Amino acid sequence: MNIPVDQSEVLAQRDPLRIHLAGLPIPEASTALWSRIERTRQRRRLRRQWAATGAVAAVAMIAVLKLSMPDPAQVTQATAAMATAPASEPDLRAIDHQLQSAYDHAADPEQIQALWLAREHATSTTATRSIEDDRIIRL
Amino acid sequence: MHNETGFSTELDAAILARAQRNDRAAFAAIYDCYAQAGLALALRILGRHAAAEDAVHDCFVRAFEKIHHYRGDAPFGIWLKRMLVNQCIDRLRAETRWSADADAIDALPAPSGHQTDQIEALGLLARLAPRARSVVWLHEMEGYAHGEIARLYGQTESWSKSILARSLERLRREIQQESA
Repeated sequence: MNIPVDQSEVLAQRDPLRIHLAGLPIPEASTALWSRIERTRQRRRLRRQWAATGAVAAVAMIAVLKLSMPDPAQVTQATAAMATAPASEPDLRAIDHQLQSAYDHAADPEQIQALWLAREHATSTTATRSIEDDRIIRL
Repeated sequence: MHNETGFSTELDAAILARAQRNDRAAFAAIYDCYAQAGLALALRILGRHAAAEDAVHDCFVRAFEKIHHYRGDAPFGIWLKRMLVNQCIDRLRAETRWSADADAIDALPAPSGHQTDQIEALGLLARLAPRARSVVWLHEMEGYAHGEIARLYGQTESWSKSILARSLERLRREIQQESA
């Protein structure tokens, strides 16, 4: 025999197991738990603010670096010019400076390669010149 | 502020609006309204007071972060309760020591030093394995359908039905024995 829905609800309410479960003690939510939630919330908010500030700073830094970085086309022209002219100590220092700057700014490998070639040329011409200078001094 | 508590309590629209603007007092009012019911629910599912507090903590932190997304499609208490139930089931599923036997009904013997008030808070539920206990509570007291329980556990509806039937049989036998 089918029991009507509302009657089955009434029977369920009288079920000793349901009565037992419904009568289980309700634990107290402590104020310590609220303080813990508050602390976590504040910590996360601060972390988000720091992350947002960091992101803005990173974008600003990238923009500044892009502006200050030498144009690859100009670097290639400069290195080509260096390759044809005899190099001096100040030239070598300038190339070293450019190389360091290129590494710092994660420049293209081609640009770095061009600078290394220029440096090799500069060191070889500097070495040749110092040998010639030695000869002059001996004479 | 109202003194009513429990998931069925309707949240004041003004409190909700303030909470959505990150008002600390509004968050405190929401906690006062739902924390006790949340802790009770988490304790019935997880079985340990410390784990229940962790779940309630995570649930409220998450709810406050997501409160801007609450559109009022369901009552706030129901929205919060679902979040908490998901949190608790995720924790149960993560406890690998239980995953070996998803069909277990009987609880393992309580470890020494297990708090008496904790066992009292669970009543006969303490005699069930965690998954079985949560299935009984969600179905019998929270009105979850077998389909929903099955989805939460990544199991089939027949798994949920089988766990429930065996658990209820076990608990009713216990009640009969105690009253005899």
